[in-house]
Amino acid sequence: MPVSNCYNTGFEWEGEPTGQTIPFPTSSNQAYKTGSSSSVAILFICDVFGWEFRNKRLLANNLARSVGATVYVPDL
Amino acid sequence: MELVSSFNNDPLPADILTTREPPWAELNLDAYLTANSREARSPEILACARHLRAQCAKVGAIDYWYGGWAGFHLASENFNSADNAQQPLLDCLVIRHPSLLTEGDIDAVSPQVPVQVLAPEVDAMYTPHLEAKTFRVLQEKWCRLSIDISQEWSMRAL
Repeated sequence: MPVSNCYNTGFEWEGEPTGQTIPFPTSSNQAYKTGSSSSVAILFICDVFGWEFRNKRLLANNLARSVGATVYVPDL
Repeated sequence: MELVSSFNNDPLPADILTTREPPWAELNLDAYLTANSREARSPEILACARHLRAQCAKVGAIDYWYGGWAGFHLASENFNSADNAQQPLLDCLVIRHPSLLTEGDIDAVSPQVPVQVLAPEVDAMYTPHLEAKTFRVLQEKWCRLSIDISQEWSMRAL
């Protein structure tokens, strides 16, 4: 497969994710959850760096704040 | 370094973000993508979206690279609500630099789901052919569509 540098060029962000880990969507799996909306949800599908990658979680925090949604990053 | 199993067990190491020439041969991306194929991950991702749709009035999805196919896949699915009326699984979709996307994925998108695609101008995975097809097919469906291939096309958070 072609390998471009589009997904491996970047840097690790500073900061601490403020969300929490919850069982999702069932007790046998989990997700990172951030935000407090009960009516608007965003499913943030993780990439090859995984659901624990700090950049991903910080971006989920920002997305939840700016949209007013609860953002879920499931453990795949 | 060998990448096998799932994201959970073996995500890519974050330090390759700052590595100028990552050891691609050692990373064995082909094996990784085989282990995390569409067939392997699709049921999990669908279950997540269905769970949210059952609980929330509005459900969107956003993804990048690997998840590109998954977003389109979710945008083609329906959901039976409590009163048994069919509604789309998603209310909106944002995909960035999608990979593993097929022409069939684009054909299958529900016309009720607004779609935003953020793609770089030169993209080996989301080819000009797929991009043109996205434009043509989703406009034919009267799907609300936005494609942005401007220079600053996406945040690099992955």
